[in-house]
Amino acid sequence: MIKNIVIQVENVSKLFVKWTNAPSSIKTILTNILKFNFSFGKKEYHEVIQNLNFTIHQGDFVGIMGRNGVGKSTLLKILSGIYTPTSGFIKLTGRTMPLLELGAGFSAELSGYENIYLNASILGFSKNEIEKNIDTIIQFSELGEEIHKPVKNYSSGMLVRLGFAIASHIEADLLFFDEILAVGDAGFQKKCLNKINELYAKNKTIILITHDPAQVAAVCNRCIVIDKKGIIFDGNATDGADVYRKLF
Amino acid sequence: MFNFLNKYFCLENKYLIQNLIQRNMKIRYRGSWLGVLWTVLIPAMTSLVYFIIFKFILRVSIPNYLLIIFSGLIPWTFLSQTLVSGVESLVANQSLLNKVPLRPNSLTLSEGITYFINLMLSLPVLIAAMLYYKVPISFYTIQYFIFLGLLFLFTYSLSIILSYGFVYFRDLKFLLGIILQFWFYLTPIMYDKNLIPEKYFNLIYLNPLGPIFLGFHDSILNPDFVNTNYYLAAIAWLMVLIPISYFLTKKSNVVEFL
Repeated sequence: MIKNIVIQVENVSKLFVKWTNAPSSIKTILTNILKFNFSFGKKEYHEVIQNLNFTIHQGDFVGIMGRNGVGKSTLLKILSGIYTPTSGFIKLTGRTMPLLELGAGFSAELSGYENIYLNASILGFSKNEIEKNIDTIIQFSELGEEIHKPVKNYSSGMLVRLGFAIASHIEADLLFFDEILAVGDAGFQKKCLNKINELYAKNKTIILITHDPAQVAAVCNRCIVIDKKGIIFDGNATDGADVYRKLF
Repeated sequence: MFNFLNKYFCLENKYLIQNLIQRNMKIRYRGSWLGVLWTVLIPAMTSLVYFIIFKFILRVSIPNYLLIIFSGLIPWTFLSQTLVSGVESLVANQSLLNKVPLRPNSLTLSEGITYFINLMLSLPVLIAAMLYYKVPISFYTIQYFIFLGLLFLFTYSLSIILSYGFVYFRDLKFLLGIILQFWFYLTPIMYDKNLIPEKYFNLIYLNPLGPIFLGFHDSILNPDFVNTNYYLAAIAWLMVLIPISYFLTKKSNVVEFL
């Protein structure tokens, strides 16, 4: 069976510009001018991602692994459309659901119920979609009556539960998770993984950033290991987990 | 053209904007006793303070003076509140903008609309003052709303420019506070057009708010069409600010600098 390509990444690089010693206040600019110093700091380039190439097919469950600071999150932000690549070409097919943080935009004073609408609309969902799913969201979050209390009184576990419930219950084709499973207790983690597996079974395409090789070996069908030089492994999940373990 | 409207006013994200506005409205008055009544009370009380100072201490002798103050101070409150919160609309939401692909100006827009709703809610004060001074409410009064629309566009475009500027230049917030103080007295709010010396009158067009606020006064007090120059000058200023702010919203890499 030939599967459709849903994510295509070609020669993607990301360069961050950083100003070193840039004067950030009028005071420094004025004193600099008085000292006849007209330099406004040095431009420094910092290449986070260099020439990345890969394609992901529909229904893939890809684990992305690598040391800290090799650009995993930056890559996910580029795929999500938060950053634009400095060069290269990206093509996504289908609706994306970037989950770089659970409960993005939660407002502390509002109730959990009100925050479902706020958060889901921030994630780009329409009124209909939210109303259709609101009951299952509340049920999955296991918040019960607490759902009508202000979010500021929630424990961090409750917040994560609500955030994950919203994000995973609304239809999307491509789902990006960034280490969000590291939070919550074991029971909730298991529930999340079950939910993700359920989405996988529905032929959704999933990218998961994690530092847990056992998890990748257990749930993913493909693993990409990234290093400073670029992709050092792309293939079977169990082998990828071994490659990652050998990095350290 | 449609593309411009769509992007500039975030038409595709209408539902998001609606939710952000609801959040702003709910949070702002949650826990306060008088709640939304404050939107009426603040401009009304400020106007009274200015009225007492200027009328009885400085002895300004403008007829219908309280009405003049109301008609200008209510829009001014909208302008200053929107700019003060708008300047921070990107920086304050940096964690959100870094995690979710959002159009940055949707946050600025929702701030602007929230304060515009507040402005609308405080208009009953103005109507009460009109009734009190027995100034007729006529067909020409509609012009007040046209100028409100122009002021909204002006405020929105300027907030976008300020919010992007604030990302790179963090002094802007403090500068804005001082500039607003000057601007308040450079704009005909506490005085009307008769108090401006004739040979300097044309200078009022250099202040983008000048013609708009003269328009506010005239559309309330003169049952006639407002001087076309005021409309043209206000539109001319918008022709400068809207393209600049639109150009900024197309700069998508602002998030990386937050």
